Amino acid sequence: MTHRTIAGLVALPLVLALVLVAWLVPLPYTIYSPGPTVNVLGSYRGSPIVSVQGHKAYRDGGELRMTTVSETTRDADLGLWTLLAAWVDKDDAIYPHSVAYPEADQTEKQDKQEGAVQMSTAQQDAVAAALEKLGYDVDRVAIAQVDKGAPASGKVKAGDLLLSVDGTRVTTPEEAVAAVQKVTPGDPVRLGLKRGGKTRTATVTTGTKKGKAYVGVALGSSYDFPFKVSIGINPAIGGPSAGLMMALSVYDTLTPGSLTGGAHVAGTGTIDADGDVGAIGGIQQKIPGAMHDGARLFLVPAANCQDVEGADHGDMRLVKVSTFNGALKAVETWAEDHDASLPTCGSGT
Amino acid sequence: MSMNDLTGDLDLDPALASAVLEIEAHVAADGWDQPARLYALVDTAQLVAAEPALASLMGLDESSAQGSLTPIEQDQLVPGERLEEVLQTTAWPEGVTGCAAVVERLVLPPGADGQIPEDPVAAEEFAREHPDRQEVRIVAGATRAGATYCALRLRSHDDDQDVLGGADLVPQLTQLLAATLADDEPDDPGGIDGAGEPEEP
Repeated sequence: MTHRTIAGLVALPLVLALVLVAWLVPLPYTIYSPGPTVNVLGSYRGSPIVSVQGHKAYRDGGELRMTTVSETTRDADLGLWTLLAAWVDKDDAIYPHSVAYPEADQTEKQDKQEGAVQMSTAQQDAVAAALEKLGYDVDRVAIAQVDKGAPASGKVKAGDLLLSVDGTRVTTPEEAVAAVQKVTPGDPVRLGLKRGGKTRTATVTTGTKKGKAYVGVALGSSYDFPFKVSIGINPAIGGPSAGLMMALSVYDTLTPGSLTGGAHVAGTGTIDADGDVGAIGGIQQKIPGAMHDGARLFLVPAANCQDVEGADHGDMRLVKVSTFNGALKAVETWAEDHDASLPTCGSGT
Repeated sequence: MSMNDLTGDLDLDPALASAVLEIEAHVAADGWDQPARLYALVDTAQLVAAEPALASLMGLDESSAQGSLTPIEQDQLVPGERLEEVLQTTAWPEGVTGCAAVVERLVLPPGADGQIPEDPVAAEEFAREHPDRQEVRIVAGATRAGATYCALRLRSHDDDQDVLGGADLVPQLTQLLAATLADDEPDDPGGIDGAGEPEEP
């Protein structure tokens, strides 16, 4: 090892070994902290979040709270100080960018769009799961979003159901994309739509993208329901993780009596139309958020069980759920007797 | 030893991480207000082979050596000498696989950036008086293969359970460390016949 001291360096007193640094360069980390919770049985801007047309809605109290995580954006300038502050806050978590934002090339705007599409899809899946449980079904394709200035802009709206492309019925987003790409770029395409329960046709002149025809819409799975159920949550909230809580809220709204027996329940988890509950991120932040907002029971997706180990949940009970049926049963059992035995993730619930 | 790796830092070099955490625990035992320190990290197996007597004194043998790095503390830095400057004039012999440094620092919140006096003594005083300062001990390491690891301990949360570990926490420091390991040979990317060193996956 060659190691020489710089000539002329004045030996300073020892105390100066502790030198100030500001060190403000952005670090490639993301901070998760508890975000707001939303009672899906409640209201947003004066209107019930779950609105129903064509079926009786039973507004009979209780709370079913969806939970959120506040996440720093991929472009946020997080310095060392900010990371350290998050580290010492036990409710916050720090993740490398590569974990929080696995798609390295995506922009912040694309993250938001992705979140909006996921939320829109989750809402439809939630309604489907609830109605399925109540004995209804039917698959369709939905317009999740219309790109600004896209060929379809002004003719197609987010929330429209896409029934057919050039007269051919489509039942999945993949079929719809394939059908549009069959059109010669620049030629018009007829889109069969359903908006507000009424069918209509929109003729869109296709644009060209990578040599193929496109109309500029994002598609999600959707369903043609026998009556209208919509979920009007603050559009700032994105992502798929409220699926289960929305499904329970829709079910509760469509059935007489309070599912929770008037009590406060929170939870998280994705849901699909078959009622399967899937894992989500940030459960360590969602639990304190739910506790803070008064929940007494918290639904944990079975696949997230290892993430809640050691979580401080006070006397709020954690219950493990893997299906919509299981979640309903757990909530009903708990509503009858708050000390009832419930499926748990292991020790300490 | 605490192992609070940030969830998902999967591309860590476990040998480096464990050497850094070992140094962290060792230094932490001496308490705060310590001068900066510098360590060479050598492949334990090579150390056992080259210095059997020393290795046996340290309780190392072939089986404990597998894939691990042993930190060797360098002569104490001259008090007051800035580690950043020392690193700029430091190079390592071939047998050294990596290096690590320990420094205590005051870290100020983003808002303080524009208010820090230029004079170092005034700046230090400013930092010490700042109500939101974080006093942190940083142990950072780097290897020739390009791996980095940092372990941070806050004076306000001085507990083994609260040591924060991660690959990219203090890039300024790990870059300086990595530079001391860089080859001074002229760059020869890929070799003349294009069959250069295989790239790290």
